[in-house]
Amino acid sequence: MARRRDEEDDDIEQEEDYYEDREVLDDEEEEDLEEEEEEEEEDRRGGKKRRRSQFIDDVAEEDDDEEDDDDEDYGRRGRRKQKSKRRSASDYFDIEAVVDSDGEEEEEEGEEDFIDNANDLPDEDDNRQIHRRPLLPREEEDVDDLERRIQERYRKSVHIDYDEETTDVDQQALLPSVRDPKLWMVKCAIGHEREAAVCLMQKCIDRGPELQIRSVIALDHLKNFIYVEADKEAHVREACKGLRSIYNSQKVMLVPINEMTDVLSVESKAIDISRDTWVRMKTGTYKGDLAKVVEVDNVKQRVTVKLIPRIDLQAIANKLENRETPKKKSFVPPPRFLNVDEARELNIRVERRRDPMTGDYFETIDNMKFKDGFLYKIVSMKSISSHNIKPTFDEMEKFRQPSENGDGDLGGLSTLFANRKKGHFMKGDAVIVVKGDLKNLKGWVEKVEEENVYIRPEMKDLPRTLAVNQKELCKYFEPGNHVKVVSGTQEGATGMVVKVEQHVLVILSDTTKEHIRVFADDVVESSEVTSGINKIGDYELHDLVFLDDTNFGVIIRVETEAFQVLKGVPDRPEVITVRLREIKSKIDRKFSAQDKWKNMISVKDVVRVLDGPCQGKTGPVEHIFKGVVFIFDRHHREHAGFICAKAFSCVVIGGSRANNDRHGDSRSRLANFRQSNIPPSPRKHSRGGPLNYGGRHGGGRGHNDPFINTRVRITQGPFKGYCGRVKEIKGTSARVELESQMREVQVDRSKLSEIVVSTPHRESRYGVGSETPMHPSRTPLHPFMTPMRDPGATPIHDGMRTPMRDRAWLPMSPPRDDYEDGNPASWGTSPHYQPGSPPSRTYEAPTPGSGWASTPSGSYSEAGTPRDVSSAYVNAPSPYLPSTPGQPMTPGAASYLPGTPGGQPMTPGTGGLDAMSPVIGVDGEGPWYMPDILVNVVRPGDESATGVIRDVLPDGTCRVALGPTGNGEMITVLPSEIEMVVPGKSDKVRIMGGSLRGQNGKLMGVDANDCIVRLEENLDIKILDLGILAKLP
Amino acid sequence: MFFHIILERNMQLHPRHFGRNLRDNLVAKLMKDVEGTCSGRHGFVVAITGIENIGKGLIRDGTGFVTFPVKYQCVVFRPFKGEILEAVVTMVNKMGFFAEAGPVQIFVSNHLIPDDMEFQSGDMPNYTTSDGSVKIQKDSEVRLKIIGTRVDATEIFCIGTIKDDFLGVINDPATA
Amino acid sequence: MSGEEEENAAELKIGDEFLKAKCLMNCEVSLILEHKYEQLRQMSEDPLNQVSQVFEKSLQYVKRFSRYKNPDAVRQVREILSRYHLTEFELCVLGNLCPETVEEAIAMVPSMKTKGRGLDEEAIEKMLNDLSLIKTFE
Repeated sequence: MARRRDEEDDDIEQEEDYYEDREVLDDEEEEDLEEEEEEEEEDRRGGKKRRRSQFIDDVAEEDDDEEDDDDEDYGRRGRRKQKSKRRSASDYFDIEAVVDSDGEEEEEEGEEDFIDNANDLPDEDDNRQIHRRPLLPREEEDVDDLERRIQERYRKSVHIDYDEETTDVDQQALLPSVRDPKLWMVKCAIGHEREAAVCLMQKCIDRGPELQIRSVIALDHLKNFIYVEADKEAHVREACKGLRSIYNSQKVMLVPINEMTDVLSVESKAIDISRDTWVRMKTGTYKGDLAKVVEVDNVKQRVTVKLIPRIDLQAIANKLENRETPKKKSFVPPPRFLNVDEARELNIRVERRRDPMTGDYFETIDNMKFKDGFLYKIVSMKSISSHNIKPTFDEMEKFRQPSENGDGDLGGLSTLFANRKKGHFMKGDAVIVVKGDLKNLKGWVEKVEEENVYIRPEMKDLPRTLAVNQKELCKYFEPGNHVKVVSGTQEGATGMVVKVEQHVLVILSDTTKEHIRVFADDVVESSEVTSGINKIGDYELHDLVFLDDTNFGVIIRVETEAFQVLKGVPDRPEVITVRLREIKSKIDRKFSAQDKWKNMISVKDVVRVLDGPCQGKTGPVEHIFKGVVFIFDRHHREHAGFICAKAFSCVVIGGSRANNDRHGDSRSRLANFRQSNIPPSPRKHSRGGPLNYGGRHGGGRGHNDPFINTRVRITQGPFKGYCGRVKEIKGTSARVELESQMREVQVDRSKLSEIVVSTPHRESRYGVGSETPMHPSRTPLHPFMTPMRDPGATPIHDGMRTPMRDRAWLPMSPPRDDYEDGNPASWGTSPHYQPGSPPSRTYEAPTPGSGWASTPSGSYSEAGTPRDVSSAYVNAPSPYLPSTPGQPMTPGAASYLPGTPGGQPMTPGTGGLDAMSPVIGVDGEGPWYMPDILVNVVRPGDESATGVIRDVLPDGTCRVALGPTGNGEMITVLPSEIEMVVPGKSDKVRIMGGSLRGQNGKLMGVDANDCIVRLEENLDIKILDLGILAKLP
Repeated sequence: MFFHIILERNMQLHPRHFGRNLRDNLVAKLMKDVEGTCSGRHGFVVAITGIENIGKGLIRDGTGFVTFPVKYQCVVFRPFKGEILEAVVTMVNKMGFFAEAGPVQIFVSNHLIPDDMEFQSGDMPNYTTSDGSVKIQKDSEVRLKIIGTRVDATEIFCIGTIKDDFLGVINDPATA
Repeated sequence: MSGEEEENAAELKIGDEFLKAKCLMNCEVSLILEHKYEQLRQMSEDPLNQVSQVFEKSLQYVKRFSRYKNPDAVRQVREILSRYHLTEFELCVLGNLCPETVEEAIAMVPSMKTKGRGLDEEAIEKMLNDLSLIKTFE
């Protein structure tokens, strides 16, 4: 501006002042922010009799300069001068016209284009300007002036060039002030804004200086209004008179000064919408749909796009036949290619028309044009979004289907890529050039800069590194590469490339073994294999889950979106891939099952498969459900080591329940047992007993011969509490004919106790120690642990004595070593027990009460420690802990410890054993009796009578009211003299053990040893072991 | 491809195994630990054929275990990218088919099956040529080329192709 | 990763360790594994239980895909193939796949051609002929 001032000194002195006032800064420093200002100056000057040529020159030059400046300036300016060429200086115009008809065009176009795409114009303008420049004669200037001007111009422009960053202050200085022409907002016909602006411009050209408006702006995004720059409103109205599209009566609004800049701010870079670009519809029935641009009409701002039609032929047919159509359905018909024949069938009139412009034939239905099944629709540019369109594969496939082969789309793909945000290239990536002269050149990335990527090409003859534009490169992969997807829908997946199709890769997912299609941009080469997640949602690796009502299985592998589940179909391993949502629920219930020899299998027991394809495999049981066990065999290569087998075809290793002892002995020397602990808490034991299952038996007992045919009571295991007669003795186990049920069961010798009247104490309750820590009941004293000990310990149990002895032996025998855990007693269901596992030691504590409790805490891990744990509980017999390693177990022992996962025997419950709650229901009949249950009183000499317990005294005796309803006389009996009545179907029952102890319910059904009970209080259905249920009168 | 190589491993032994049978115990433990395992470098260790050398045992501080460096010979199976071998088809589905070559499982994607072979579902899903002359189904023997391998924690998984010349079903067992 | 380091059996890029190692043909492995299996069978009652699945699968595989059953034949095969300048790997691939024509052989072991070791078509043809002779006389 300064320049101009200088030049126009004579004419423009006042202006100079004006300008000086206005502009604090040195004009030379910067180009005006707003052309407006320049324009004003120019125009102002022009208003007077400027030296037109000079002015023109200036203007032209100015423009040149401005245009020469980098685009940034233009961009900022946005509005291209809408110079209203009011200067009628015909010279000027003529010159311009003559010299360069482009000029006017330029202006016009400039007007339009600039308004739209500020960026593009400058280039065009530049070119044009450059053309223009040499053609403009400078007649009226003298040489000196010319020289000076040129110098200044170039100096300024150079200066300007350097001074790229216009600071805020500079910018502020260019803002309009009160003395600048104002901006008026004029209402015009909607859709005709551009037309109005062009008309005004034309008017200016025709009228010249009469028209006192400076410029006109028509914005794309602002409908119904145009802006006119003028000093006075009257000028605006005057100018708009006679224009069809501007309603003269409309008011003209003044734009406040501080909002003037907003009018011209350009918000976002618009991407050229050109043919074959992928766009998405923003509104209407096709909202969100992918579309391909077929034709672009910039003037009318409309494009013709190709879409997959969503039409309801039926509705159209109805309409055409004037049938009643149901109210316009709110649902959007799904996208489907149009089949002309279908339409014809419905009697819809299909015309074949020829589009005059493109020459193609279209089928027209209801005014919609179709071709090849696609719908061709003309929409306004506003209703499509072309920015960052990422079509999914499905969509692209659909577009490809009907007619095109891949080629047609390749073009589409390239533009797609050009418009997408590209992934970053990293050093070492293999890339291939996809555009330009070097197309199909492969190379590796050496360095990445902003836009340019330096690659090392594969071919020898080329220079070592080449700079290539990022847009022309694409990552390159070969089949066999292992990759990881880093963006897009499949993010996180890893796999191997199977096929490469230009930009698209087909990858075989590591986890789901399915094919994934991804863009090459979205992957990087990596050797990482996704499998790190162990858990999705609620489900973890190795969980037992319900797939639907009948199917269940164990999760053997967790992948990004799916799980691999080994179905619970024994004998025929079946692995299926399921998604998270297909899993119904986790199976939490603990179940127990019986093995071939009717031993109870509980989780963590080691079993061997006897039948079926996995015959011979051994391993600890991870899950049990409905008679099917899932065994985890480390050596088994398939299915992550899981084997599914029928419980019936396995055998618990270690034998029957007798194992319990084994463990006990070795490990826990329960010596403590001796201590009294046990007896006192008879009630508490929480079942103790059962654990032993684990079967590992060890001991072989031989004695018991005298026991044959004696009446015994089973003190542990699922049949705890049952009375029977010993029929046969085999080693450590005995076959007992139960009195209450018509069958014979195999029981570990240690679990039997002779029924001697005087044994009040319990039998087994406490701990048997060895087995599962929990039980201290067994014989509390049992020193399971001490192999040798035993006998002493049993003070309390009488019956147990013998067993104990035997138990003592249980040497933990080396065989156990084989198992990783050794679990000795795992109680059937108790999940953790590791019966036998050295940890058991912890039990030691016979603490009757603790029963289980003890275990857990114990850190078993070391075999030795057990004791501490127990202390926690009760009696902490502590002594027990025999040094585990040493323990009886013998060499094997050491191995156990580590093995048993904490399993503490039973500990699950720990804590409190809540006295009765042996949890898993292992045999019911707990020694703990509760009032109000129906029992059978068996006194030696008497016949059994039924009665209802009224009271349970602290020392274990109970007061029983005889009679089925408890109405008879009251007697006091010892626990050993009473046994619970086994409830039948539809009986009211009370739960005697487990966490639900004490609750009442109704027995809905019996399934082997499992009973289905509906609880009274909350109507929950629970499945419990028969043993823990007692009948209510 | 099967190789016979010498590997080395440090075995830890508990003192209870000492004694006369120390060496046997060591060998037994070695076999138990190593046979059947898989590593990315050597592939699957199929079988140990002999012990080359057992070094001096070193007692570890703190524990009573003794570490023996053992050198042993073993047969390993290691698939290589680009290798051509024969395998047995174990499962066919529409994505392709799985084949096994010894301990390693190879997947041949349908993209890498010649185009003239199409998937036929049914009781015995298979890939058949249009004229029905060549069929790939469960238990067929095929010759394939490995184009990529991936090593997991416990196994090696490969991708193969039968699209090249001389690959595909082995028709005549007698043919060399 | 750049392709240069990538392993590729077709170009014999299998790592030093394996290039120098002794390679075994299926038939040879078959003999070894069978022998071992016998040993196990004698020692304990249930050999199948003792061996890993890898062993089992490998045994099944080599039994099924051995071209030569006879140990003598196997030895001869190795001997014949060693007369030519082949690496262990190439030798075993040929022994396993037993190509019939020269073209097939080159497709199976592309590295034969590229190495320039004097393995021209004639030599390959002769080699294949010898191999087939063994087969017929097995």
